[in-house]
Amino acid sequence: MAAENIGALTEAVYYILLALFEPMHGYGIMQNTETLSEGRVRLAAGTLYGALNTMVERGWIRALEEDEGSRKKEYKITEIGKQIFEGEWKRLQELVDNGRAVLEEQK
Amino acid sequence: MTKTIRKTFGVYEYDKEEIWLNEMAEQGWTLCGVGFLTYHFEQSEPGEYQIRMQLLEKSVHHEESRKYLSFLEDTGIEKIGHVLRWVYFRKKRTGGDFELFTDRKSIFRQMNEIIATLTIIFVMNLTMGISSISVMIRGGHPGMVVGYFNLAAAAILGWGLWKMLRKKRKLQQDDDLFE
Repeated sequence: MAAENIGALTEAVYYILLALFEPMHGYGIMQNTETLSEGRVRLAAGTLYGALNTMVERGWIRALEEDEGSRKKEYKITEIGKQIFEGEWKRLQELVDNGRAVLEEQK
Repeated sequence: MTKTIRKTFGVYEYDKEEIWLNEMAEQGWTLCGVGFLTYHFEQSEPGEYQIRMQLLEKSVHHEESRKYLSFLEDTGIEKIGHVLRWVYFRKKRTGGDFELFTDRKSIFRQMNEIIATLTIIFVMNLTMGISSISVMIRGGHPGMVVGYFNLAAAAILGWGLWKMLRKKRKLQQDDDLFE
């Protein structure tokens, strides 16, 4: 599946995908997102849980084999997930570029 | 030190209930157990904990619910107890506010779950009320007067439902503007 035009990702999904370029468990994703956005985006556990399940179903991320003794499940982005992320990143880039062009013209 | 309070909230008054539980926590009484119309509190630092409630889609003992609850636990959320499918949580106030849902879509899903449950109880009470009263009016058993209670319950539930739907519509307007 190519990074089709699926509309804008939510901020939550964008940051989850970004976090999962490295394997991470739920709490790690929450902390990572809060740190990267300097506290602006906060992922509540209920919201994150729903998003993770849907993203696994879609094949954007996958759950890693659980280590024995470790109860916390870790996730990682898949190739499809990377394409989705890149598509979104390009879309955002376009928005920023066009915004900047107009704003700079005004100065 | 602990104390127990008996208090009644309508099924649609869950936000009132949550506010009350958080007011108690602000005063240094943190919820530590729940039962039917019963709340147990333990003394804690004022404002140490925040309380949240959630209506689960499935029974607390269902596999899916258990997975979800253990996920929450891993993020530092403590499950206090449950009454039917309503679960009570608490979390120590570290950093920001304790929320279970932070985007509109997941807030909607939670609201829809509550609306669906309310609708079922509403329709049940309404049909039971109407059928009992019509039996009574046609000279049936006088015990069917219980139908009036069903109708009264349906009226209260209907009002609660209407309030929930209005709240949802307000939130939905944001959907036109924000991702």
